[in-house]
Amino acid sequence: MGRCGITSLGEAEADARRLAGLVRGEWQTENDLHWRRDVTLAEDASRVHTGSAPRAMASLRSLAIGVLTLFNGMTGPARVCRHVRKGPPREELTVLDIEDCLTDILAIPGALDALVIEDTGGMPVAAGRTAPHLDPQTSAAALSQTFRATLDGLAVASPDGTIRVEDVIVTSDKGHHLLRPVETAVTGPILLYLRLDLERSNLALARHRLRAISDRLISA
Amino acid sequence: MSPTQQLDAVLGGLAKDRATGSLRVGRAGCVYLSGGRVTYVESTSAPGVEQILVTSGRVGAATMRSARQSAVGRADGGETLVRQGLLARGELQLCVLGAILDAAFFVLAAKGTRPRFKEGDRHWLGDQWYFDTAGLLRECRRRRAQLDHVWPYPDVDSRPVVITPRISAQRVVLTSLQWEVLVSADATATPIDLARRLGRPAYSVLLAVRQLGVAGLLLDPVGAQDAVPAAGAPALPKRAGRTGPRPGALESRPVPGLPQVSGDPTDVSVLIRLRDALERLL
Repeated sequence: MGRCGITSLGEAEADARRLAGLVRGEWQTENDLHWRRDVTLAEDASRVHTGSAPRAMASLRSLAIGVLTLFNGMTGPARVCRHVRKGPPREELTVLDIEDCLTDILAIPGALDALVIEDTGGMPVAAGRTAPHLDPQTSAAALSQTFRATLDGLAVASPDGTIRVEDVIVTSDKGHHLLRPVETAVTGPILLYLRLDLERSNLALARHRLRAISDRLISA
Repeated sequence: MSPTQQLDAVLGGLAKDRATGSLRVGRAGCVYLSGGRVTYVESTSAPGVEQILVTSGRVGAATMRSARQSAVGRADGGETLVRQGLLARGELQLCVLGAILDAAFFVLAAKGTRPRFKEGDRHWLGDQWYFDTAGLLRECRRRRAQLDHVWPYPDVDSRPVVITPRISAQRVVLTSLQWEVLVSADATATPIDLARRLGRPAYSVLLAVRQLGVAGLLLDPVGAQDAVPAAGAPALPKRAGRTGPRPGALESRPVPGLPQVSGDPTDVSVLIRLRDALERLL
């Protein structure tokens, strides 16, 4: 089956790779705009046809597509509509394993590097995007000690002499550092560590997200 | 080659061959490998995943038994527990990971019998987490060093934990695990017994007991008569027989013009070496 096409590319530029890309690109427009308009938002099925109503509806659809694509990380109004209608898809509710947990921590806006630390010995269980000159072994051991010292210090300084720390936040010239202990009756003590960019991060949001991630890591 | 080095070498060889199977280390326990990486370690000293899950009340003993029985030969017991909604996957991974580190501390330090490898053998929980052998050995060494760094008395690891009824300090800060150890110590149970009773990692209990020791909360610990609690310095190492000075010889009565004798083990060992050298001159 043959296909014909006309292109403005010169003889030298029109190689197979470029032409194939253009052919596929045609579908990109069809998918990106027309499919969304005609099928997802049901313009084809619309029976509005009198006066300026079709035009107004088209504008509203454009506006809707614009708003729906603003949903963070989601492509396609179809997916977003499903999301809005039914809540997040099932697979997003399933619990995480340790690697997923690290990936999700690194997806927090402004995240620079992250570690999952086994806190009995201060061993890194999983490390993500650490600076090349940093040794996760050394960092994990040091962070584990930092956390222990913080607990001891705060326990002594608290009015009743006991303390239950939910997270530790330290702001330095290197960013915001978040340490969050995770422990259940069946796991040893685990620490989640996250360093955030000072300019590009939202500390309150990051803290909230880190809590949600640790809950999903351990709740059945 | 010492027995421990021999075990290290065997593990290194199995890792290089990407072996899958179980390595029985005498009576101490068993190391399970999958593709050359460690997926589980069983130890007679440390509570295993089953024990932790049952003791914590998370999974009933009967449920655990049936999960184990149905997983025989298939090695998918962990998968079953997660599918039944008894455990989150992350939580199971963390539980297994903690149990491996804990058991490895005892099994990889075991001396004696020649380890025996059984090709193709797999643990019933299946592969939940992977440790490379070098990393695991490194962590065991670090844990050993941490223990001695806290309080260098290996003897308390195997003795019954006896808590002192009265302390000289006015205030004490405890970790939650130290609290559990204090409450359960009955002057007959060793740290390993306590770990089993509490369903807590055995290494963590060893560490907690040593921390209690250095805080002066253990009754008559090893070398207590040599300790210098007032200065807060580490207590003296136990001296053997005639090599040590007579009792009272080291009592720190400051002599004018001479530096005060400290309880620091390095100072003591310098003194002992000096005396030995002088004796040789005679």
